[in-house]
Amino acid sequence: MNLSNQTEIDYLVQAAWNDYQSGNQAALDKILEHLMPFGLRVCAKTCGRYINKDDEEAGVAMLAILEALEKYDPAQGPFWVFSGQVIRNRIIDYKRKEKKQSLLPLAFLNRNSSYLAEKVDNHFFEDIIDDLARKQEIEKLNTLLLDFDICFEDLVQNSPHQPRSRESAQKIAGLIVANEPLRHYMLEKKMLPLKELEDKWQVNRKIADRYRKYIITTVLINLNDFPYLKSYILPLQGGNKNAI
Amino acid sequence: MLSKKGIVMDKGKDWAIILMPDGGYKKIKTNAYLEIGELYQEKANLPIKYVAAAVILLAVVLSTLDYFSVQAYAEVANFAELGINRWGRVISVHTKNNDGQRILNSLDLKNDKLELAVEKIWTQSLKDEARSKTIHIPKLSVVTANKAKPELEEKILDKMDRGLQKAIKNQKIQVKHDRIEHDKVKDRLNNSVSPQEEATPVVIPLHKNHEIQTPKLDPGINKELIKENLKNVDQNIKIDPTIINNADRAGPVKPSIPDAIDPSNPTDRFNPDKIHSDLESDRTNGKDKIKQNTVNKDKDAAQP
Repeated sequence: MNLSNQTEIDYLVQAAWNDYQSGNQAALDKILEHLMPFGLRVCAKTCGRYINKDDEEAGVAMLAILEALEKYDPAQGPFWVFSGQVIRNRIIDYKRKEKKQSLLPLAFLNRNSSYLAEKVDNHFFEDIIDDLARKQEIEKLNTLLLDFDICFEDLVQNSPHQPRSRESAQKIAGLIVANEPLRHYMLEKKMLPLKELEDKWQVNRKIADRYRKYIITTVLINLNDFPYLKSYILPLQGGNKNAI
Repeated sequence: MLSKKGIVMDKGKDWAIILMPDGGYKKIKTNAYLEIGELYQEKANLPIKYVAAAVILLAVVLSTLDYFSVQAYAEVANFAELGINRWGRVISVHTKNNDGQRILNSLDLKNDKLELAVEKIWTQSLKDEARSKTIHIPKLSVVTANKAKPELEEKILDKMDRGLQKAIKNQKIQVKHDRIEHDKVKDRLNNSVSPQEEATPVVIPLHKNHEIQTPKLDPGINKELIKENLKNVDQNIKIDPTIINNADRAGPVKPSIPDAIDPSNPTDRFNPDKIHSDLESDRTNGKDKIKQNTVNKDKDAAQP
């Protein structure tokens, strides 16, 4: 499921809820696996640390999602806001119980209970959904980059640091995105069409070669459906060859 | 101050790779809890940089202003006026006469320590005085900007005194050297010039309280006896106005200190009896002269 579109989530949740209401108990199990990343992220944000699937908080979140699905009423608004609030409340209850049972000093409880009592608005869950959507895009990009033998560490080392060099590299990427033969060559050969860029488009070969990994990544972000990442890459499709 | 928000692309235990809004990738060190896809807001540390730069700039400007602000004026060798800053460095140099200007032109005193500046001035000044065979009595005076700081004045005077002592010490060495050279020349020419005829500069050292040391009298002279004799002279002398007139015509009398006085000696000129007899004889001589003059005038009048 792509969480980048919230209406899509709402649609899926609505369908699962209708199925559940009509007596299909398995409908909740189907939607649960799609909602778990969201539940884990809410957990992590509430607890202030990373929560994996094996943690107790993850179990609490799963139960909270099921509870939200059972109690959800479309009249109450979007499901992700309702479910997010339920998950958060259950995690806070769980933490309070855990602290009462433990032998921690009272001052510690007082200190840590403040963030649990904080009320959150819709932006809190909205941000979580955006984070999840960005995470999906990044994971997909990482898979694509593996074919080109590129990792994010390489991008840190090989990306242009000067704004002028970065602009030149982004223009070269825009040129490749805008031209089918260049694009095809890159995706086919898993390398930049340096000779063609130099001969036909008078691209500075030195810049193209030095920032090869950065240019390939920018092309892949532009070619694929990565709306969140795309907003961080300048839209330079159809770049002017004379300006390079 | 605006801070940039980037996307967390990758993360480790204490690091994260951020895709910045300008399209650049940046690796940061952080212990904060970050998830991939989360927005990372870079802490705006620019104001601290600006504040630090402003503080440094202000400190530099203030120290520069303070460095060039004169806290006291020191007068050296009667012709040089040195402006001194808080750290005892020479900031400004003024002179009162052409000779002083000539000496100061040959010296670079700016930013020198006061002690060194005084030493330079006096070294140069004493050299010039040695050439011209004249000695200027050194005078040290200080005028502080803040009168409520007498200790500053005292401190500056101490420094000046030290500089002067050094200059005198250096000059003494040079004088000695010059004298040796002069002696060598004399020996070579086999010339018997008396040491009194040599043009050797006299150096008058100062002691701590900045007073000139008076030359000591020969211990063989009985000072008390001199004083007593002089007192007796004052009591016994009855000065005739004619003598005073004669003395005025003759011009000022240069006093001279006798090498030794013996009151028992009747021929000693400081003996009261002798002085009295001398005055009596002068008086009679004066009367005779007046009589002689009147007689001469009468004779002249009688002649047609």
